[in-house]
Amino acid sequence: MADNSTSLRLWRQIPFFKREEAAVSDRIKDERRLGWVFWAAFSYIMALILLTISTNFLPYKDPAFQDYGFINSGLSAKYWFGGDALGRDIFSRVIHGAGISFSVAFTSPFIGMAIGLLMGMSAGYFRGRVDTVVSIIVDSILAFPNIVLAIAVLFFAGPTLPNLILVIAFYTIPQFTRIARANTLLYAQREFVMAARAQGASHLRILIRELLPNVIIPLAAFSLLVMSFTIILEGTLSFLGVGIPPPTPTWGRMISEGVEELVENAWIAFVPSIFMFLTILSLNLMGDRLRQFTDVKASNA
Amino acid sequence: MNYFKAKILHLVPVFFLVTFASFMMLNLLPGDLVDAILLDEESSVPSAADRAALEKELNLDKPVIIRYFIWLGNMFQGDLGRSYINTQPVTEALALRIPVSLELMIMAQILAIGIAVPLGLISGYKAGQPIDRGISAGAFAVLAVPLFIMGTVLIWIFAIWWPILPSSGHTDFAKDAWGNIQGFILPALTIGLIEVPVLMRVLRTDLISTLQEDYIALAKSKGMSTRYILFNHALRPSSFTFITILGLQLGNLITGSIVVETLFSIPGVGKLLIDAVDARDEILVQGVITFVALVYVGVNLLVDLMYAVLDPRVAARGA
Amino acid sequence: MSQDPLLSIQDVTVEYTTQGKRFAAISGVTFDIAEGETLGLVGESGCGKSTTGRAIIQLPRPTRGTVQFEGTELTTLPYDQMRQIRQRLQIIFQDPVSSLNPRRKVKDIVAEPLVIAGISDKAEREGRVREVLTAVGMDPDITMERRPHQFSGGQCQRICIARALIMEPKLIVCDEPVSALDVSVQAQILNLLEDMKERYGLTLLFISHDLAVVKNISDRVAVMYLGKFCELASSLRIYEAPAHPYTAGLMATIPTIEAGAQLETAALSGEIPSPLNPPSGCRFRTRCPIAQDKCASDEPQFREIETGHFVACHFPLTGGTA
Ligand SMILES: Nc1ncnc2c1ncn2[C@@H]1O[C@H](COP(=O)(O)OP(=O)(O)O)[C@@H](O)[C@H]1O
Ligand code: SF4
Ligand SMILES: [Mg+2]
Repeated sequence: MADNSTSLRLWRQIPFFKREEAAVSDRIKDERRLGWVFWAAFSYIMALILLTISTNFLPYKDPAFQDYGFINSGLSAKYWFGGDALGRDIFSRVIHGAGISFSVAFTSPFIGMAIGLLMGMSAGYFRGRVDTVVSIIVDSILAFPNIVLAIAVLFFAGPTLPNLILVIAFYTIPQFTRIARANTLLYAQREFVMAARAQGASHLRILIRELLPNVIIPLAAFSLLVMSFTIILEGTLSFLGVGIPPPTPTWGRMISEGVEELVENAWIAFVPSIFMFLTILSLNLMGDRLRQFTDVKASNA
Repeated sequence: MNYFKAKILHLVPVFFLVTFASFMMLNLLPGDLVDAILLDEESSVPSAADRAALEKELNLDKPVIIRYFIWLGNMFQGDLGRSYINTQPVTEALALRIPVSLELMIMAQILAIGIAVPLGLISGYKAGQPIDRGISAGAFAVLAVPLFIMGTVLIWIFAIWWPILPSSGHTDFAKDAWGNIQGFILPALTIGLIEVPVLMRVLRTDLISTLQEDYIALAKSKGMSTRYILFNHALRPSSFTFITILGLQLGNLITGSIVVETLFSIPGVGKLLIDAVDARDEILVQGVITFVALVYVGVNLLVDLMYAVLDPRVAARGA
Repeated sequence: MSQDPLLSIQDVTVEYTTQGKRFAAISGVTFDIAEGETLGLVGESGCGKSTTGRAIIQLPRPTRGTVQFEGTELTTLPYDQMRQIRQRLQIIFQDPVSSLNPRRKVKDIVAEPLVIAGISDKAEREGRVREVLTAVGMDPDITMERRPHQFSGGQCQRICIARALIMEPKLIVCDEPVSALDVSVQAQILNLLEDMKERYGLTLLFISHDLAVVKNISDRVAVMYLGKFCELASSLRIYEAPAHPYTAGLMATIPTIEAGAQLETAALSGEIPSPLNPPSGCRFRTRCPIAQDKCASDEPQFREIETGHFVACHFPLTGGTA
């Protein structure tokens, strides 16, 4: 019922996830393999994650320590990416900043996915009234422009990491709900669901045993794209100065501080920008590829 | 007709939800509401008179629901409260800033369309060929660039490395029209470039399906030139496509203007919000957020209704 | 029938809602199935065969009418008691690939009814899975750890049959179990069903749109048109002497070398009316070669024209007239 308008709204909300184009099939690729681009992206992300984890035990320079001898210094053996306007080690700050980005990127989408699964699967399986209620909830979430609600919550309730994670998770719910619902509708029509009912399986058992294993695959592939959305949103909030406050280094704040120095020392803004760009690009590449991959598998089955 | 009724009725709960959420934001503040609003780091303890005035203004002696409806009533009369920093009414501050944001958004859309249409045309016409693949790869890369990085890069290129445009500031159109437009070019280009991949793809897809139609083949067989076919037959952007795009971009435009106004110091609604956040001007933050949320809800409804007017199937399916 | 039937359906109507309109997919369907019998159910696609089969297993519950299985009324049975009965009442579907969850191992798929029935002993479950897989001609060692997409359609249907058999049911509704399979495989699956019927003492409702498939496997055959039964008789009688013009028309579509066949094929041309708006009187009259005025005004009753031979026609081709 509220089917079309809901999905239209969702696509509107996430315009950078392109729609599938049925008319175009010019992309003929090796469908069985992920390809080297995927693995390059994967390696970059893994390397960054390992670096982030290593901040817990390797002796990086304190990202908040100000070395006045190295204010706006260029690349050197001591400061690999140089020092910023306050003489802080840019390399160390980039690695620590990745920690904030990843701690949001690896939590928010999963909270959103759990809630989206619950709502989307219920809507797609029970349909009728449940579907209506879910679509009203989703529409309500979409009624606020995301950045504005995030600013409001962080401003009024405090710019803490849990608040940041929750408000971003909130915005990932609609996308996950839509995909979960569509896939549940698709699989609920398959006869194996009817067979399970004929054997006397309860609704809960059907949802968990028969539908969940099928529905979760496209959602997992999609969650990579949501991670990149999450990183952009977190970065934007930090850039605007409404995200996690100093002294915690974040990429968004590093870039906004770097803009002040753009005339003389452009690299201060560019180093975190490049890291951020590569991270988002890698997640998009992996997500895009995995989605094609899972689509193909689903249609073969 | 049912569809329209349903859509507009749907607006009622959404309206109350959005306004109530906006209203309740103030109550998220930790501690005593009056203290939270009146206390800032520099000033000393607020005077009893100030406290009393604010308490009266916020109707703190009444229950939350009553306060909400009073607030709502005031809102309908154009009263969203006033700033506690400079005592300016919120609606007055908004009225000054709205034209600036609108100009920015319109220019951004013009630039976005101006860039996306030729790229989409080439890409769709040469679908699958190297030039299309190149454009698509570029678009994919742009999708991975957050707005504020795009803005930073543009400032560096056009204001520092090759200084032909201003990187910040805003001139009054009435005083210096050219200066005004110049000041808007980089910020509008920042938002515009971010929109290009989406617009371009919509156009490319449209074009590819149009080019497969029979009448295009007929035109070709009659020996009409490629350029003629593209512009007179294939490129007939339906109003439906246009509305789709408009709907797609709305959230982006709002995010875009907040980021870009902050980065380029342009006194629009977005800058007003971020400045209010920096100054911890609670009432102003609440007022701006309410306004933006309501505009967003309103435009979304308008887009949904326009969908239905342009494509009756939407109304039929959605009823 | 002297003995109480295993399954007894009385006046069953199932209504669906499509595009806001409510219509009866089947109406007033009445029949019995005796223990150990195979009843064939034939009719063109969309006439309500699957709906009839599903009404028996209460998915969905019929809008009206009664369904008695082993003396128990199912249409009013509480949900948890219905679950007990389901173990004795199974179904096999047309599309074996779609009937198996692509993400689960065969072992788990076949054992699922045991788990639902609360058999918690893993070793016991595995033993019974092996046993039933062997019975349907699949090698358990090779089959159990694999997933459905690694098997052919015929093999998948064997797995479906194994799943239906594992609780040793009394009655299995076979909803076009061979229609999606290659002709060469069809005979194998039909033979398997016959073997299993003997081995497990099954009763079958065998649904097909193809009279030829039903012919050999059924003891009795029922013919449906537009949601209603037209004719019901022993297999022998219905093929020898069809009484309903529709049955006769279907019969003609079975490939034969007889000359008369062609004439009657023509009788079955014409569009099937929409079930949302069925013709008045006899539902078959718009395509019936011998329709008369009476057929438009009066609905023919489903009546016995000779012992065990039921027909809903004012002018049956054999066994007397109205
Ligand atoms: N779940 C459903 N909702 C609405 N209509 C249905 C549903 N299932 C079947 N129908 C309709 O009921 C009629 C009978 O369908 P079915 O019993 O599947 O026929 P058959 O199995 O003989 O091909 C058809 O017109 C079909 O479109
Ligand atoms: S009742 Fe009339 S229309 Fe119907 S089958 Fe018999 S002869 Fe034909
Ligand atoms: Mg069927």
